[in-house]
Amino acid sequence: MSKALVIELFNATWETLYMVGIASIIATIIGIPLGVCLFITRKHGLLPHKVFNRTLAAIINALRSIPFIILLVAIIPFTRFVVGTSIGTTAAIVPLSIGAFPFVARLVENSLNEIPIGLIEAGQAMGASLWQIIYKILLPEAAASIVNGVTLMVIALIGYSAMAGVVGGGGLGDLAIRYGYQRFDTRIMLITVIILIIMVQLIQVAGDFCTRKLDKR
Amino acid sequence: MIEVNNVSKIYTTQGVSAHALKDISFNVPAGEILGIVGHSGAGKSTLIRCLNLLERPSSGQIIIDKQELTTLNASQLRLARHHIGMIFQHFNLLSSRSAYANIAFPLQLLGHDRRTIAKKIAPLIELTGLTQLQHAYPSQLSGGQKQRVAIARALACQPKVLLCDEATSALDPYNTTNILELLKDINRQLGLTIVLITHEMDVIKQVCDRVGILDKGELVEINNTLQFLAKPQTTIGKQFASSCLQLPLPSILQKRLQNQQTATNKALIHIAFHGKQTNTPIISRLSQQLKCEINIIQANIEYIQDQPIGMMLVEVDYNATEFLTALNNITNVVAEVKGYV
Repeated sequence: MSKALVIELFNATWETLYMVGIASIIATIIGIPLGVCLFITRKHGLLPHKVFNRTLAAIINALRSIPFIILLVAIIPFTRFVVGTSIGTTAAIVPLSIGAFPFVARLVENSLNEIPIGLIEAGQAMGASLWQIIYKILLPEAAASIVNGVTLMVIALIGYSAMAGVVGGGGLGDLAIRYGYQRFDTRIMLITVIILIIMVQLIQVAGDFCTRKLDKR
Repeated sequence: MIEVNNVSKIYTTQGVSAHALKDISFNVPAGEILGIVGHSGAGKSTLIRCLNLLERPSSGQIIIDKQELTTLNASQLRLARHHIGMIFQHFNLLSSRSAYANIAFPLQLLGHDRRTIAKKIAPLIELTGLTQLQHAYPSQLSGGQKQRVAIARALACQPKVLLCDEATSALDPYNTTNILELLKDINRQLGLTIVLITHEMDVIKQVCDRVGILDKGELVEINNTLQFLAKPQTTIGKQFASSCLQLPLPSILQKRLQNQQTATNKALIHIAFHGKQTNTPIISRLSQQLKCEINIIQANIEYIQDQPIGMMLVEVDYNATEFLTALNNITNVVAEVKGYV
């Protein structure tokens, strides 16, 4: 294998890690508060608000139903507005984040649903404020389950990132398509797939480790 | 300490309203343990949850420690709740925190620093016997231990009132007694006023100074525990009183039970007596007087608030009505013919 190709592989791996990493962080930062909002504004929630809840749920559902490849090109104007350009690795982070945060919001909502209602009641009986219930009861109790879900999201994003080539985002998926598929280079195809498998395994192991550490149930 | 005035709670679902609580009024003086007993669905949980406004009454007043909770705004209510402890049937401990951190939780909510918290909860950990277990997580604790943690947590802010929502219903008899003893200790040592709800008369018998009977959302009876057990006023009250005072009929006798007295069968009589009557040798006296044989099937004496209450199931070879008359001439006991075998 030529030296240039090795460098290419290294770059592609880095690009994937960079895109997925930053997008995961952004999606988590946006998704967690939205998940909490969904949970507390629902019927019989801590702060019931039917209209807000329905609207938010509808937006999240709409975003989740758009195929990623469509989302990628559809939001090009928005991407240009946010990062100044619509092509390149950094530009790919925008659609990846938008594709992932509704998923995070839903999984956070699900994790919060699993918390026994009695814990929230106990908090209220102890005089906890809404804010204290959220960050001292809900989030710590759901932490293990949320980390578990975020791990799923990161792995899904690695899959999505293969499409980033469409906007010149680079990454392993793009490399595999250009060299492996379009140039019939089976070796490159195989190497990228192996790197991806290792990457996914490592993320899963790390996620499981964190979940176990956090889960005291 | 606690004043409940004309509290009602109505639930309306899809236009249909259900009266969960109907015009309930009672007082709990400081330092008392009041037990509320009722069948499931009687509104016990709703009532205790109304006391700290986890459930807002539809009408009526709740006054705790001279503060009318029903008129407070949200933040005043939160502040008031810090001084009303509550424990639950399913403990409701935070699974992500150790026993110690659970107990520290209410103090953290108030923004106390670590050192103050440590100082405040050290005696509570000792009181509840959790010294060895304070670093364990709830999942590593048994039910009884979890409830101890919950009690320590409820006491962390030095409340004047403790509400117990079926606190022993998920525990085995041994742990139930254990937790009830602890509640009694706390009541004596700290002068804490306790309101507990339960469906078990045994719980009432073990710790409550007074007992209230809740039936279909109405507080039908409220009285000193001993007086209540000796003389319940209502039908449902009688059911509850007899559920813990009546000795059960052995099934072998139950099968042979007849309604009519004949020349060959014997009368089965249940006798209950309390206070000084326990000193009267009823059986030997009656046996001598009536020249009949009295066979004791079952007998038990229990102490409620350090007063003895006795129960006896006897089999007599004598006319039941005459036997009861003779019995009432000796002493004023509550006797009842269960049937003939």
